[in-house]
Amino acid sequence: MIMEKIAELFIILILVSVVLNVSSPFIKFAIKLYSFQSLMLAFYILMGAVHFNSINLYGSFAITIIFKVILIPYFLFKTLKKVKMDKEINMYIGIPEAVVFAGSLTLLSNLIAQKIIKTGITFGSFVFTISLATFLIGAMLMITRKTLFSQIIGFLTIDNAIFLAANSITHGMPLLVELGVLFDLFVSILILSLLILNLRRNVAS
Amino acid sequence: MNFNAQHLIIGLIQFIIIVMLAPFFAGFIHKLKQRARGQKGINIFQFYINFNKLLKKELVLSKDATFISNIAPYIVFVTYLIILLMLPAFYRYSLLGISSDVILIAYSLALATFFMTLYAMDHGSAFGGLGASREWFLTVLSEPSLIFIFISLAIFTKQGRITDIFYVIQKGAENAFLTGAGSSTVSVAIPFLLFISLFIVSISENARIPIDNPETHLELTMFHEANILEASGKHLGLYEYGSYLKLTVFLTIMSLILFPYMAVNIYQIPLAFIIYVLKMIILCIFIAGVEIVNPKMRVFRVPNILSVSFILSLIAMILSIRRF
Repeated sequence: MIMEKIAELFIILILVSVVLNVSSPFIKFAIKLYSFQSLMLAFYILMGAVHFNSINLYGSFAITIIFKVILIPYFLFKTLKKVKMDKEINMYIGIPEAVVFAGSLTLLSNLIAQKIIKTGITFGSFVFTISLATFLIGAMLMITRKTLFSQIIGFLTIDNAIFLAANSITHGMPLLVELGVLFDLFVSILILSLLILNLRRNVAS
Repeated sequence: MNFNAQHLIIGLIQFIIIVMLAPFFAGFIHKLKQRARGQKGINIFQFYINFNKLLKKELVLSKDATFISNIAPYIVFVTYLIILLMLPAFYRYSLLGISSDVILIAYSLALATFFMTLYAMDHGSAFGGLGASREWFLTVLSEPSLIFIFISLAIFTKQGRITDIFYVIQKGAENAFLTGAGSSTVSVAIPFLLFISLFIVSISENARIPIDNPETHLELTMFHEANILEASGKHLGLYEYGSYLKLTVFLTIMSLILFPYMAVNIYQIPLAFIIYVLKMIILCIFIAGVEIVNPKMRVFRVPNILSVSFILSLIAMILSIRRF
């Protein structure tokens, strides 16, 4: 029983970190928050692994820690240092409006999730709601921000949300699938950071 | 008859103890901040001495002042006293516990702010109007989250009064701890969200550092101080004591969310009182730590952090609705 409550806290922390991400224009802080969010996701997977005693989930936990908590933030920080950018200036809507919009997206995802839960394909309704909200807020982050860095953060947030949703529907994906997904993500981050550097070199005056 | 007399006496003692302790907590936070900066620091009971001194000083009112100036400090002070009468700090049956509706508490806080800003504008000085408009700027932004915090507590426990709300949470935690069975009123996530949300609100309402600095009298940074700039003598004393009481109100609600433990009978009172003081001191250390670490924020960044607090309370409300 107490394990469930603590798992609930981890999931809530994922949503809280995304909301904080929307509320802050600082890119360094956003990368740190992404790392924290992935750590919380990893802890949630670990609790599932202990509960179901499945080797796949233990592997998934280790991969999440290595890739999402350490390697991707490390590369993003390295790129950030070269670009010398510290603040998101261009936004389509202001921060308070974006935060309130994120709240309404949470409400919306609660409504949608309750319809989906009635079909009986999920067993963690709470997890499903939070992952849907995280997904929508990540998409909003990609739409409302103009710099590539914030869009990468939004993309990574969406990826985390899908991970969480997959864990709420199944008892963990097969390890091979997860490894493939993470490797794809990692390569895409590398390409995007190269793109940022090249854009900076060619376009910036 | 005997039973009710016991509630009456212990409720009164509880009220007097909280009111007497209020300047101590404010002084403790101040002392901690000064020691962290490397200063020697004030006497920890300095605010009692200040209050005593201010009561003896002469009262000066502006020639433009109307009757509002004469009644406003008393209304502000008494409003905070009434809210403290409702709160079950360490004894479950507080004196006004039967009428301690959460909406009433939220709007009593707004009433006190209303009369303080009226007082500020009544004197006809330019700073008063400036302070009043800034104070309302903050209050309007933080009030929705305060209301949502209270409403989500009410929905979570299906109770309306603040004494019943925390008693239900305490009972649920006790049952879960003793029997290990799950209960609908046990949660880690909802109190966590409410605590963070209420912490942000209390920092903004009590004029603490990331949002306002109560120690300066620089016109560019004044929020709370600009309202009481014209006050002197007894009025200033009442306002200062009122601000300590307001801090105590917020800290008490936060301590109840953090770890609700209220005495039900007379034998549990010593333990409950010790736990209450410990919780308050931990929260004071927490607030002082936040004040030391953070610089003062730009005024136009304040809506960002207050909107985060609003969304956190909204999420808590969604979660508590989902339990049905």
